[in-house]
Amino acid sequence: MEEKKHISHLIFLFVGLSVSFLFFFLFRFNLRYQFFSVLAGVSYYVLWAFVHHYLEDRLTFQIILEYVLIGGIVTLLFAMVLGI
Amino acid sequence: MKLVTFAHFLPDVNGKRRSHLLSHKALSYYSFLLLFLMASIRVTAVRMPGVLGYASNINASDLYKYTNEQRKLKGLSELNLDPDLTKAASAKAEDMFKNNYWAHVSPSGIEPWYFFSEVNYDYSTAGENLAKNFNESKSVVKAWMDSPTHRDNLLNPNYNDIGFAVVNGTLDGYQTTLVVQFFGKRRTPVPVEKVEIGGLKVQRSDSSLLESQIGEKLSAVDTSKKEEFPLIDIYFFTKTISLILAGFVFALFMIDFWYSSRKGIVKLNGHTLAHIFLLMLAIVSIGFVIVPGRVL
Repeated sequence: MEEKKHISHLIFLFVGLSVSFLFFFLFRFNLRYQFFSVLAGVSYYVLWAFVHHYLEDRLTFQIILEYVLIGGIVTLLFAMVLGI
Repeated sequence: MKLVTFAHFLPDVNGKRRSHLLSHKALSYYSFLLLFLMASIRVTAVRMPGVLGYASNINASDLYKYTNEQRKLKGLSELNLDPDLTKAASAKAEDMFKNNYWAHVSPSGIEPWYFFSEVNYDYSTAGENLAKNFNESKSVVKAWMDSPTHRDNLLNPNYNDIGFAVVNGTLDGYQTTLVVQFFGKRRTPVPVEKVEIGGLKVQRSDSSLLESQIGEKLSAVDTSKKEEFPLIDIYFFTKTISLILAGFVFALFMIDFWYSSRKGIVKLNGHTLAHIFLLMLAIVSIGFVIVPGRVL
């Protein structure tokens, strides 16, 4: 049961991030919209972390910090290549 | 000073923590490294304009050919390369470099139509497509075709004439190539004669330039006949750095996942698969989706 719940959480994340990737692709000639897609994807990823770890009763500052740091790195990587 | 050893790549079995290279401290360092690189790029662009830029191999002849190919595919008439529109497009490109902007309307409020009137092109309908940072003519036309508003311009049946400018210069400190595509239809059709120059159908009014002069004008705006290479191709540079860093962190998480599964380490941290998926999407996006070219 726990395993199934875990997988369904991951599916939510994969679908959400895939949607943001799709928008990123669709807006490939529009710098601003493309970067908004990245911000939306990363925000969804951090929000997902809150919900997922809260439901699993493992929500701590250290865990959320890890997501924020990785989300931050990903945002900066895109910002650098897109020339934001 | 502690050197990085193999152990730094592996999760801490006893502490039940991630590897040193994935600690919060390490992740913060990666962020600062990126911020430092971004700041350095900005400073270089301001202090040494033209050092950074986008490689380009665009030419007006190909743009004209691909534009008409797209129109023919839709059953539309071919557009005539108009020397006046070409002159107007060139003036617009020069104005953008001179006043350091990339927009349909200049910071001082000059609209594209101003450049039409400057060359006495009295239009009943007109349009403008812009592009920058592309490295191939075909990509420019493809990008315009992929954007609904630019495609509407390109496939507008009301236009008769077209003019191009492909001009290299420095914009915002980056060496780049600006492409201006002007469309139009004269309010009063003037007696025209069509001449062929280098395979291009060029429209010439009675009072306009001689054939040799038209050729010179085309050469003047088509500066991309020679391929332009900046000292540092900013797109290639930032893409390479990003892929290396993203690949490195991705590999660290893969090692973490594999090693933790193998040793049965249950760590109190974020979901490794979630991080792996995010980084994987970032690598694919940066590697295959991002293009330097922009259209407006």
